[in-house]
Amino acid sequence: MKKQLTIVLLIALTLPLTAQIVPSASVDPKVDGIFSNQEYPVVEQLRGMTMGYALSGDGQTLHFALQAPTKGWVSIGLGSNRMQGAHIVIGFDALTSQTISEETGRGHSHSPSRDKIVKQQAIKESGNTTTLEFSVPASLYAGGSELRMILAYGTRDDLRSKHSTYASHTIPFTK
Amino acid sequence: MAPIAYKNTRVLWEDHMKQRLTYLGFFLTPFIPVIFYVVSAGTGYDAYALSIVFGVYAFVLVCNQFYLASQPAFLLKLLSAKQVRTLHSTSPLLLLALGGTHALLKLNVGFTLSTTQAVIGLLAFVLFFVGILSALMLFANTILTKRMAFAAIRTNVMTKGGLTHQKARAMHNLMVPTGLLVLAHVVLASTSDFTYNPWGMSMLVLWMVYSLLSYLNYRLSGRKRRGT
Repeated sequence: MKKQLTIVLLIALTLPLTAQIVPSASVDPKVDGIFSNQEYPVVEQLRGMTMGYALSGDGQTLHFALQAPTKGWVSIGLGSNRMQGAHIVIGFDALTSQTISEETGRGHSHSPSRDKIVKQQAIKESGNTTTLEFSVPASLYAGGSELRMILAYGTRDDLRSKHSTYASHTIPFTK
Repeated sequence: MAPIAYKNTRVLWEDHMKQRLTYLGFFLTPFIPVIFYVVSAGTGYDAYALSIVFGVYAFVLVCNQFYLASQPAFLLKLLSAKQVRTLHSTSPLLLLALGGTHALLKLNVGFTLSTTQAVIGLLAFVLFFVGILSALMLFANTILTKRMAFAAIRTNVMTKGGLTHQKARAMHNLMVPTGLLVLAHVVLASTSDFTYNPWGMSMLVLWMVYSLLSYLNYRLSGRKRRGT
């Protein structure tokens, strides 16, 4: 009974922490590859890319969107300001098919990750821009005081060619 | 007599030290580009970093093979021609072991054979393996050569294959295009990106070009001269 109470207390303490790390959207973002106005409470412009992020209403899920001026691949790496060690979500829309992969950053490269953390994902090319949207469990990144990330895009429809532009960004948690 | 004997001993000792230092240099110098590669990749100490260490070291050994095959006068002053040949015929075993481990470590951390760079690397490894094995079987002088059973196998293979010693050695020149293949593998690697790793990448490319040119020079003009 005491053990169960402790677990309940710990969960109760954790929930508010995860619920406060980043602003929540009034309505949870729709992971459809379309970066709509007002969909994300925080939108940042980074070297020609537009990134949005939001915490879900229940505080359990982190949503990300990246719109880049390319017809090639688009990527967000979580957990690091450089490729090494980042959990990279990368994808491209070849119009007839869409590819999204979870990779681990290794040096200046990346390889398919053994850990799959993405809950929902979508990528869509429209005109000269491509938008990647995905969501991950908030608990994975709620432990620290910030979330370091890298963003990049390339010009080709593949997962291996070098980026044409990249940026690093740190989201300070509000808790 | 005593001073002469002393001098001879000293000369012998100096030669011995020179040889030791040459071997030490041979096996330690690959660590110079290795350091550049590991530092620029910024990976920390993990399997991927180890794969870089093995890969770069193996590549320098490939370059060294061409350099050793060119019988450089500089090296012949430090080592005997026999020692240079021995180094040339034994270091490929280390090269294969390092190259194979490099590939296995890359696969272990999730890299696949889905890129041109990886496929070129595999192709080069297979060609080196075949080249080294055939050299070992057909014309290299190793400890195996003295064994009767091995000599019989070699003769049998040479006869059945219609090969002569010269033909087998000429075939071994296929290692030159294989060297270019492995150079392409290295240049295409993300760790060789000039933006991140200009010094390490330049070292490897220049050493391969210099080694290949030394070998070509030796084959085209210098073989007889250096042999005398």
